[in-house]
Amino acid sequence: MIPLAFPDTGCGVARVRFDIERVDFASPEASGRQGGVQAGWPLWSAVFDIERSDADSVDLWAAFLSRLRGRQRQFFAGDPTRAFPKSAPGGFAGMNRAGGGAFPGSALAWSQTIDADGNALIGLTGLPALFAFAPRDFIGFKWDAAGAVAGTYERRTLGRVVLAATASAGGAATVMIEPPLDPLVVPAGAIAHLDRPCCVMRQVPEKTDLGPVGTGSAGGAGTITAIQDLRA
Amino acid sequence: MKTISAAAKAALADGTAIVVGAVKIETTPVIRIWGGNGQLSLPGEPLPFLPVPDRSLVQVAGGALGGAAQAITLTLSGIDPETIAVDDSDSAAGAATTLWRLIFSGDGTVLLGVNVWARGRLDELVREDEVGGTATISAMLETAARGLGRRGSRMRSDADQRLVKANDGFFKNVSFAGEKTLYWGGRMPATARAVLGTAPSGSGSFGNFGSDLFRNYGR
Repeated sequence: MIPLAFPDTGCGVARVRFDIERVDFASPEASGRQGGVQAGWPLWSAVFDIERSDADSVDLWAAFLSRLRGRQRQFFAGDPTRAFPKSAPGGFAGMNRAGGGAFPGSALAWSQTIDADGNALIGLTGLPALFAFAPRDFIGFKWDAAGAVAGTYERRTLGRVVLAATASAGGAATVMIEPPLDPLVVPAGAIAHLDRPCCVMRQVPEKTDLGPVGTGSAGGAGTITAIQDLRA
Repeated sequence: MKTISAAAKAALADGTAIVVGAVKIETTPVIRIWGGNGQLSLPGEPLPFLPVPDRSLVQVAGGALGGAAQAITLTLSGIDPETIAVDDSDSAAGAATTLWRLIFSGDGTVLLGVNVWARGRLDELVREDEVGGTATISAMLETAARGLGRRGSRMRSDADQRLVKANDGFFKNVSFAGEKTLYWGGRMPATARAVLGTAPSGSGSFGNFGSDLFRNYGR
């Protein structure tokens, strides 16, 4: 099943914590050295805080949570505070690729290189000339699951831009992201895109609570907690 | 003997290593799983390892210390299709199992080192489905030093040896306690007095050794 879309409610999300979760087995010493190893690969985790929902939004949130069926169903989740890059907060309407043609938000090609310090550098081509990336922008990657209908893009993940970067006049840019892409997961044929980057998540029902709904159908404060379900 | 590559050691020293485990259980068909997110091929293995993004595999590989004699418990997710096959398989009992530890670079893209952490046989499989909790399969691995269908008996103490051959006193002077605490300085605890004996009895070298110690340093 294709993951559900995150609902586009009128009230939106009041606050979001959208962060990379890493698990360490640390062995801190009194000397100050903090040794240790990291257990497995990082994942995105999200806490969406909802406040003062209007009646229509309450309906949509309740319907969305009901459809998730607890842990059963995946959904697409991104950072609603940065659905588009900072330099194009309203989307890419009217923008053109440096090489000509409308820019729909996706790059023509991408590649990842790891530098000597272990930083992940994503090379992108087919961007508008001098396109600017700001820290905390996102680059999304989407690809089709094995055996799925082409173009459904059930598999997604994203990387957070950590250094400001600007595309060349030819529309090519090199951007540092976190976390680095796992080459065993993200195929070379994936599409790198900047429009509403998201990953596939499942909710954590123990930490999700929409809160009570008032008699006038107005919602109070609620929380949806989710963790990335990363699959190749 | 574990040989860890220089690059992996450097990553461990830097604190940038990502550590994960891989398991092969030789049931029919052979089950190969690992704790990452994609399919992984290892040298010498004909088929790739299937992903079970499970940090418990890491815990076992990274946190299990001790010698080869120590049994290892693998906690697997009880609902992953890759691991449920272990539970379904008729040939799981006593199946040969190999556990690898994989060390990746801090960016998670380069496999720096692979080494076999333990080999053993599948001893016991415990399924747990906890309401409101987790569903897991615990696989107990008996490592080679402990099991492998050994026919002989335990040989650790004088009594054990005399069970094998009544007149063989080879172990008569060997302490059978796995661990004995000797107290250097300070007042001798009452329990130590009972174990080691305060008066030299002359019956065993360990008893004499202990009481000599306390005579010289403890009082």
